[in-house]
Amino acid sequence: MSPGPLWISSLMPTELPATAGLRGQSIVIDGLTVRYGSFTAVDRLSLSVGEGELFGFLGPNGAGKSTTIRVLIGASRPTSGRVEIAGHSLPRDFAKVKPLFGYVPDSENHMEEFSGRENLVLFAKLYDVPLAEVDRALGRLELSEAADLPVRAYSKGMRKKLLIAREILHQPRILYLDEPTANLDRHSTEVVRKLLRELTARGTTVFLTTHDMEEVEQICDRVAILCKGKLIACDTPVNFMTRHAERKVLAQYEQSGQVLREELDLDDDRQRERLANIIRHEACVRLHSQEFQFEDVFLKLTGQIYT
Amino acid sequence: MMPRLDKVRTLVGREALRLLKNPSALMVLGLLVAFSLLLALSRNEKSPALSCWIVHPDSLLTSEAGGVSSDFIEKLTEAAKQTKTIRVLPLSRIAVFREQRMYPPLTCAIELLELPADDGSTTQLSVTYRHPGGKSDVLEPFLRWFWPIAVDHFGQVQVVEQAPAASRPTSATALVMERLQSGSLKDLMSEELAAAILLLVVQFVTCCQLIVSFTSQDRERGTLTALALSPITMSELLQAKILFHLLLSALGCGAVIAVLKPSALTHASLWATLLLTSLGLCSVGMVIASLTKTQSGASLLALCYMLVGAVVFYLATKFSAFAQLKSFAFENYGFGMLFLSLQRPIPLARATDLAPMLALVVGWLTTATLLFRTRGWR
Repeated sequence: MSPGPLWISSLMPTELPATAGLRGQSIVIDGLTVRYGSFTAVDRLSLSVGEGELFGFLGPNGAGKSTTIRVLIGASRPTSGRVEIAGHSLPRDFAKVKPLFGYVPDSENHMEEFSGRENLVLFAKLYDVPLAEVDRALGRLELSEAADLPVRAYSKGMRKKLLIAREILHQPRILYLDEPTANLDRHSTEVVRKLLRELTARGTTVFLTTHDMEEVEQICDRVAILCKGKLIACDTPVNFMTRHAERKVLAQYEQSGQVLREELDLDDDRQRERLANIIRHEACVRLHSQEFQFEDVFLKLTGQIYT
Repeated sequence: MMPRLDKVRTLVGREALRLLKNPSALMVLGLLVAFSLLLALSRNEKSPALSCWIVHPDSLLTSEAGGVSSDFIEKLTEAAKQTKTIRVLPLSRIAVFREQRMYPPLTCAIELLELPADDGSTTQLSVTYRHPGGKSDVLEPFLRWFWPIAVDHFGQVQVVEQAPAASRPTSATALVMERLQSGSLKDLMSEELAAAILLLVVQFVTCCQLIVSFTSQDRERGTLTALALSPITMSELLQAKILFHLLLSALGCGAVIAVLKPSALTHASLWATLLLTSLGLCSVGMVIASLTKTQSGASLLALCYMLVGAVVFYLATKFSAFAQLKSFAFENYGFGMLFLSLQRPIPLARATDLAPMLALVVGWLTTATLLFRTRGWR
């Protein structure tokens, strides 16, 4: 089952926020712990991601996101806990899992002296993909014109898009992306977001880390927030905002010939009364409801502002 | 699990494409081949070969000395017919003045003498090489002509050069190594020696330096991780890398041999030695690349390996306490075998240096495989 648009996602059950609930499981993480000496990078993380889900994995720097992804792709071994990818256990079934996923790292890892096409042809051969798919992937990421240029001549954005093209060549069941839209211009960002929605519509599971909260709000079906190695919340973006929203109003009014501004919290009785007074007694010039963004939720939950 | 040939071929193709797009690597290889061409051209300017007399006790023609059958002299005489500069004569035909045998000026002499053994019951054959010195090719008659026949016959030869006070058992390989380390390279610079040195350099560049450079670059850029996460196995990746560098080494060495010593191209012992040396150097390269995190670190470690090798050979030659050290280096056997195999084909059954070399190379290869699979790509 492919996920619906955001308003449908918001109706999905949220009682078990760390599980995908309705769909088959592509990724199951149970009690994952990764330690480097005495430092615990990931601490008893448990969550699951369903097939065809676009899952956002967020957290401040050093939260343990990249470590978790490294375990999911088999590049690191967990200290303890269970990881299952499409029914295969990691790290035991690493060889079986490898063809099932694509991984777009945060830093590009192309063969610089090769052209974009040569890079993709190599991976097409390794994945036994028909070479016609190379041109198709280049076209989807709008790289056809630059396909025969050496990668060292590419801009950062083009390199990122080439990475994505490389990793969708073999039509993986799971796609891990680490900051996929970093360094992309507005248009390219939209191209990538559209591509990710298309992939999930076809049943590909997308596991995404990003610091772009607008992106999370726009495209993710569910979001997990990690802080200091621990999962602190997992839900749909809409539910996050509904649960954690702070209703505020910005009031502008005239008093003694001067225009004054005041931000009022509607969940506070005294401030609500103050708003009523402004409307009743002052010359109210403008009332503006303050939108509560996902970024505010993130900052609130990770304790960077509100503690 | 058997390697999938199509995947290995794809990966070998990738390495080849990398080399083609890397002008500096191509330039190094080109320069090495150009250097061998220069050596080949300078060969024509060499002075005429020294004449050499091989003298032997009359008894050697009829009896055995030190377990040496008389057909050794027959072999020498037969071989001498092919050259006008070598003469095989009984001792009785050499004039003696004040206990010194009289040879014509600027002539080399290889004296085969019977010496009583320690127990007095048997005799030993002693080989004394006398040469006028000072010319660049004084050792050539010995190294090029007499020594291969002697080794073929005896397996090991006791050599006394310029009649030192006490003779000591040594092989031509050891003699060559000693002269190299004592700095008198000029005296030894035969075309076989030049070719052997050049072959070692070509192998070091193609198998060790390039594999270190390419692999650590892969690792630093993250391309090794990208490849490791694709459906290929780490074994296939390792095999492809080693196979490509072996092919490159064979190509480079083939070019050098074709230019300097074309007749040696058909010597099986030469190719067996080249294969083992190249495989050993590839393994060393993979170990270095797996142990370092950056390309610059890996290049420096490769340089350290080369310098450590030089120090070990120096210590092993100068101080008897370290004499056994060099027997742990496959390059020690490789160099001697290359030198000998360039002169004449050595039957593989008699190429005893190949066995310890093989053991050492297998050790390096096992270490490289383990390191590369566990930490090389991470």
